[in-house]
Amino acid sequence: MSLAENPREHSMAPSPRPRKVGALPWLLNAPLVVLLVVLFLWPVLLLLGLSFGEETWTLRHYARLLEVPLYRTVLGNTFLISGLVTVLCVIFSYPVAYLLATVGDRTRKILFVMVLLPFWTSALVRTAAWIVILQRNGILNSVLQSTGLTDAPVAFIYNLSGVLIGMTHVLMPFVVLPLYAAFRSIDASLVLAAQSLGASSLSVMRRVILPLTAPGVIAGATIVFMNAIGYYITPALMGGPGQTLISMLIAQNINVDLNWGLAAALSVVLLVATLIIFVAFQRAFGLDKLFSGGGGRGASQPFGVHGRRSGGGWVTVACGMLVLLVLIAPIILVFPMAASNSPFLQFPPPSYSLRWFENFFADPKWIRSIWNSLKAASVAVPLSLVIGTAAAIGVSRATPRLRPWLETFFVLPMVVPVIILGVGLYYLLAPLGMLGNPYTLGLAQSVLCAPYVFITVRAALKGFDPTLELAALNLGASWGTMFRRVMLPAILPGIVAGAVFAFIQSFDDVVLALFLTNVRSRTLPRAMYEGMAHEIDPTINAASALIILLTVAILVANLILSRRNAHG
Amino acid sequence: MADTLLGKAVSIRALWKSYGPQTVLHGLDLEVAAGEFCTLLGASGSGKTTMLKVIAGFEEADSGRIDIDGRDIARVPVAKRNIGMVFQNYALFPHMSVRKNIAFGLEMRGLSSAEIAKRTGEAMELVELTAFADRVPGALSGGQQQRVALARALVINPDILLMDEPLGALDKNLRQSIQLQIKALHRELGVTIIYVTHDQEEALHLSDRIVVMDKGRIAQNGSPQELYRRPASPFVAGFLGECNFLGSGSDLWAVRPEALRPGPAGAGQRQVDAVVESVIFLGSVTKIVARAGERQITSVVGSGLIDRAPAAGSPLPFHADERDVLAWPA
Repeated sequence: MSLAENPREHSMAPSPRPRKVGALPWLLNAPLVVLLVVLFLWPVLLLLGLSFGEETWTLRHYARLLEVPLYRTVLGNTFLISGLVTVLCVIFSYPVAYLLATVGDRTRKILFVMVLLPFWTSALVRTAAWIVILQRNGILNSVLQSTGLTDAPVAFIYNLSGVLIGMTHVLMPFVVLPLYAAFRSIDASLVLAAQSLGASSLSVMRRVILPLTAPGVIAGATIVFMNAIGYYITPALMGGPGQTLISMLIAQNINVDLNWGLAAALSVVLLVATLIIFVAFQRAFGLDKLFSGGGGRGASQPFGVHGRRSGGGWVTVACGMLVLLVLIAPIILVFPMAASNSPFLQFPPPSYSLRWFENFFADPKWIRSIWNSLKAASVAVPLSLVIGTAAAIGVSRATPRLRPWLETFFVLPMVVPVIILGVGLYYLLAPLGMLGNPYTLGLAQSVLCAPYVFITVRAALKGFDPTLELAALNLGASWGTMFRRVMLPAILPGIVAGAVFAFIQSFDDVVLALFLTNVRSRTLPRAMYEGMAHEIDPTINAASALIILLTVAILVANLILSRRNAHG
Repeated sequence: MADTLLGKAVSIRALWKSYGPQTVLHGLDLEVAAGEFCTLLGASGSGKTTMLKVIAGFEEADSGRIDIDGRDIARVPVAKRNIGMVFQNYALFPHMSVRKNIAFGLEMRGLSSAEIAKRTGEAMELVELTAFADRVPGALSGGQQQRVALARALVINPDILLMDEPLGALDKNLRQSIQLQIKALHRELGVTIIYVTHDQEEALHLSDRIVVMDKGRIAQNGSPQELYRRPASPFVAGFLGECNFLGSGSDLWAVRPEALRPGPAGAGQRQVDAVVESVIFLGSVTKIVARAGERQITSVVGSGLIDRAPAAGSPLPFHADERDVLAWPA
């Protein structure tokens, strides 16, 4: 062997290399990189700088966080409440995942709707529904009192229980989905093997199922905790003064105390905590698991009940059903409440009418907010669709060394608490006079939407055979023609799904709207949020019902489109 | 498509290619005549597929020159090379019908729709797929998909046709019938074919010329007969067809199983003493497996020439004619 030989010495007059698509990945990745650097990285770095003092370098703000007892309590509370929410999510998810994994296919589809519908419904709408159910004269208290179970109304919200109920409800699907996938990847023969070796159903649960589902649970729990520490809307609306979390303190420092330095320091603490969890997650599970809902390899024969369910199995099924009912209840109850004829939130409504819907459509405040939402979405959705799709294609062609860095950077906006982005963008854009208009909000929202498009299109591209591209080029197609005629039809379902997620993300956004819009330019969710912060007016129920219907309509349309694509 | 001798000659000189520190093509030279069926035969990692990718333009050579019909194609982009390619997994566009798949290359060439319809129709007839024109690839069998891929590559009247293990995904019976079809098409159309495979039988069956590749170099280049009868190295002798290696070091020699016959040597023959291990009756021929010292040897004899099968464990001399002996003087 003569490996040491220099190839060049042997070549004849070397002809110049053919031009390759070398610049293409850069061109495709550049738009999303630019968007994220300008509207994500830059504002976050500004906050980082601000936390160390505006003029001179100082640790003053961080020192204050440690000195003032209130701040220490808030930091402690945030982690404590997030931990409690995570534990509750895991406990309630087990029976649901078990139930989903062990029922027949048709039942499973129905039950899945009970998990996914709340998952895709705006957190604000769900919080509004919970307030209607749980408040002093709410649905639950009227039921409890009319049945004589309690004499006086029980305080369910504006305290710890309110925060826990609201946040657990919002975040639970993040555990249910990976846990369900973990259950399905357990091979049924393992359970049979354990039983044949003499294990009782309790031992099977403890010695076989729990260890095998642990990775799925840990993955889901990490996502819940990471989301919980930065959560804003639900604790702000359903907690009391004792449940102030970091995010609320950030907002308060900006809106009330005008203490930017402290707000920035709090943001940095929150950001660092989030990033530590994110990096740990990525190391342990890899980035893919963050979106794929966990899931292992499909088992040859997935876990299920073969034969008779044990007594414990029936108890678990009952618990699972109960949890599912609680998951879907707020979404269902919105409708009778919205159609109530009463100006009070009575349940069951004394009589039904459409007066609150009429009220909603007659009020210019609501109509304007809808227009503002649509204007924001009209920027956020197309922009994130084009940029996110380009980046997904670009990343699939990036060098293996660069790829993981780009992927991580592109999904980072999904991880960093929105409140940090909101504050940072406010600080960046306010001096430029760009605030108070829905198009700016749409631009900012595209930071949140683009990662969703990126992920769905990237997943679609993984199913795209790269030799098809070579075949098209080989047959004489230019890259553009190849994209239009071969690649685009293949990844279209991913792009459509990305558009759906982007629209829902934009249309449901409250936090960015709170910081970047004003009374004239506020969006529907912001208008609802402000309505809820005072007193729930039945018109808000009507708005909630409309948003749920819109969500359902979009999801159904997406389902039909993807079905048709799969069969066509 | 009925024109004969539409293939072009290919000339490859000093082709080098490496991936990072690993050199996969060591300055290869290869001339393929117009209309020739040339097979690149080698194990995985021998560089045969890389060679094909460089010719098609999917990969860029570090240095070297490729001429098609006397013209350097280095600066011609993939889409303009006019090289037909049949991919290992066929790479049929899953959302297009058979007709659309075949028409794709013609559309890219901006032909009139009448011309496209005519030539697509002819191509489908050629591979007997007219009845399946409006099906999508997913609704076809593996063999039918293979024929669509072939028609799609041929319909553009390519200067050369590259085929990358095109029969690898098919079962043995189907493979043989498609080999016959490919051979007939090649005869009929006169297209220049560069065919990549690791299957020596396939190579022997199809090729005018076989290029045996080993670790990025050409081990031997010649007609199937040349390669079988006068392998340039022990590697080629072992790679193409069965071979008994005997002797060692500089005295290494070899003989094909059919040239090794039971019985003591006469004049102009060489003798190998061995002990019979097993005798396998295979119909027209019988295979005798025996042990000569450290080595296992195989002799294939016409069944009619054996009166009585030798018993396992019995000593038996074998002989071979000197002119059938393969040796490689250093």
